[in-house]
This record gives sequence, C-alpha cells and structure tokens, in this order.
Amino acid sequence: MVTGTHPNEIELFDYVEGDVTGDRRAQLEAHLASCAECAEHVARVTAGRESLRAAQFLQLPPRRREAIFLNLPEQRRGAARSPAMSPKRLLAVLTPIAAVIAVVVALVSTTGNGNPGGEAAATSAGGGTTGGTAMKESAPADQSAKGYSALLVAGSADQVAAELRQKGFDARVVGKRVEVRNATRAQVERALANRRSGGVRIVIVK
Amino acid sequence: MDDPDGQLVKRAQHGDRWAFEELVDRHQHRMFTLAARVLGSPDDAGDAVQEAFIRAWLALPNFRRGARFSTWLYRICLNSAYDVRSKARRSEAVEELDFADPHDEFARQELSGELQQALNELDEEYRVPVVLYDVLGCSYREIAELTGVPEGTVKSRIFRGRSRLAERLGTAAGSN
Repeated sequence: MVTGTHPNEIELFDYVEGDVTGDRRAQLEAHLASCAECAEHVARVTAGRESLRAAQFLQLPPRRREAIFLNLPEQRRGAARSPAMSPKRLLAVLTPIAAVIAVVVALVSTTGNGNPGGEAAATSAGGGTTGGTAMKESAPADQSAKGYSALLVAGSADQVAAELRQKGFDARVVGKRVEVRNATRAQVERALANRRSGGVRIVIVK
Repeated sequence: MDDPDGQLVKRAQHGDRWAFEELVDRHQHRMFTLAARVLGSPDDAGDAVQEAFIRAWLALPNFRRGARFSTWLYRICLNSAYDVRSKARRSEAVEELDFADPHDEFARQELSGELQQALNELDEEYRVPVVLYDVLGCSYREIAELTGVPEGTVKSRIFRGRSRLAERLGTAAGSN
C-alpha cells in the first residue's frame, strides 16, 4: 500500500511516465489525492518534462559539418583492411604490369623475327600507348579511393556544376552534391570566389 | 539488437567515407543538440561534435557489433564535450566566429533562453540524463549504458533533474 507511506521516486517517475497501470496506479492516485507533498512533487516533475520536451532541436552549422570531412584523417591507424582488392584497384595494379609485359613480348618477338624496327615494333609501341592511356585513366580512380575534401557554396548543385564546367573543370552533380575531379581545392575556391558560403556541397575527388 | 545504422557502420568500418558521411548526416543534429545542451555554448558544442565525429571515424574499426551505434556516438560526444569544456576553462582566450551564420544565431538564442539557464544550473549527473531522455528520446537502457549507472538510478536522476529544473523555471504551479 502507498497511502500510508510515501511512494519512492522511481514509483512516482513510472507513474508520471504512464508505466504504472491497474491497481497499482489506483493506489498511487489515492495517495496523491491525500498527500500534498507527493502531489506537488509529481506536478513539478511533469512540468519539468514539458519544458524539456518543448526544447528545440539544434542544427549543426554547415561549416562545422564541412570541417569534419576536411579534418578526417586519410588513413586510419589499425583500420580494418578490405577483405579483397576492389576491381578498380586490381585493374590499376594489373594494367601497368600488362603494359610492361606487352612491351617485353613485342621486343622479344621483334628480335626473334630479325625485323629491325619494322611494323612489329610500331604495333608494340601502339600497345604501349594503349597501356599508358589505361594507366592515366586508372590513376584518378585509384586516388579517389584515398579520400576527398569538400566545401560549401550558395546556389543550386546544377548551377554550381555548370559554372565550374564553364570554367574548364570536370564537374558533375552527384545526388545533392557536386563532384570535381582533377582539380585542387584552391583552384575550385578561386573559381567560385564570387559565391557565398551556402548549402551546395562540393566534393573534390583527389 | 537490430541497429538501423548497421549496414552503414559496416561499410564505414572498412574505410567507406561515403557511408560515414551518411552516418554524420543522420546523427549530426542530435549530437549537436546533446553537446549544446550539456555545454550551454554553440561554439563549444560545434568543437565537441567535430572532434567527436573525427574520434568516431578513427575508432570505428573497434566498434563492436551488438552495441547500438547511436549510443556509442553519444558516449564519444559526451567525452569530447567534457574535454572541450576543460580546455575552455584552462584557456582565457575567447575565439570569435569567422562570420555570422544563421545556424549559430539560432543556437545562440536558444541557448540563452531560460530553459538553458536552468539546465546550466543543474548538476551534471541530472543534466545529462534529462537531456538524453526528454530532449533526445533515449531509452533508460541507453542512458544507463552511457552514464554507467543502473536503470533505477537513471529514473531517479531524471525525476530529480526535472523537478529541480521546474523549480528554477518556476513552472510547477502552471502544471497543476
């Protein structure tokens, strides 16, 4: 029974939260009807709850969010290793090896044929060029895995991407952000110096 | 425990920054609210949240499955908040903001109100549980895990925290 003795804080808290039902709730209500001290306590706790629940959620300023990503370390100490090499990374590793093998094979076959600097050499050089191109293409893909830095500017993502493309940047809209490749943060900042800070996130893929 | 962040956490643990970015987007405002309500300063709260996310990124490989990611993040956020506060106490210098930001202004107004003044006057052991429970909607179990006390103690602290807050706000009479 709680009418004779005061219920403890946890009982009163459960009552306020609606976690007490049935006979127990009726007993507590009977006690509160006759005990001004407990009734006042419950009133205060209920009022405190209402004040807290009316509190506004606060928003992290966008520049703070940006700062998180700018300061995120590229490498994690003791980071979990990828279970397997990604296809992009595998391609990036294998392509130069393939190119070297192609050149060696071409040179050997040229020597073997006794053809000094003829068509075979030209073909192998062509193969080498192809390999070289592939290496260049794979480099950004490899680097993109390492990380990025970001900044925030005003306007819409489409407008910002269009302006950057107009100024010669490799920029595209991805989701709500703009991805810029083959550029530095300083270059992009200079190009967008006319824009104020805002909600469009620009990711510079290194 | 089925953690709604589970898949993203798994990817982020393997170094996927995009997944981590999604996690930041999901939790940034709750983290900021927690830090701001505990510290009472938007600038210090911003510092604490920045630091907390960087610490979280570094510690992610050690995050154990089965724990709730948000609870783990809040723990880091609270630790960062305490560190920021102790640094701020040691330092006399006051850092001014580079430029006005509407978000800062809103937070500043919100944190200069009566509620925050009353929260600032509460002892830490009451302030943290009431913010976690009534503002962020954490469960008793989460708060118990975060604060390292039994669930019964959590309820008792929320009870007393609310009561003291209402006394300072002078709102108890209005609720009768």
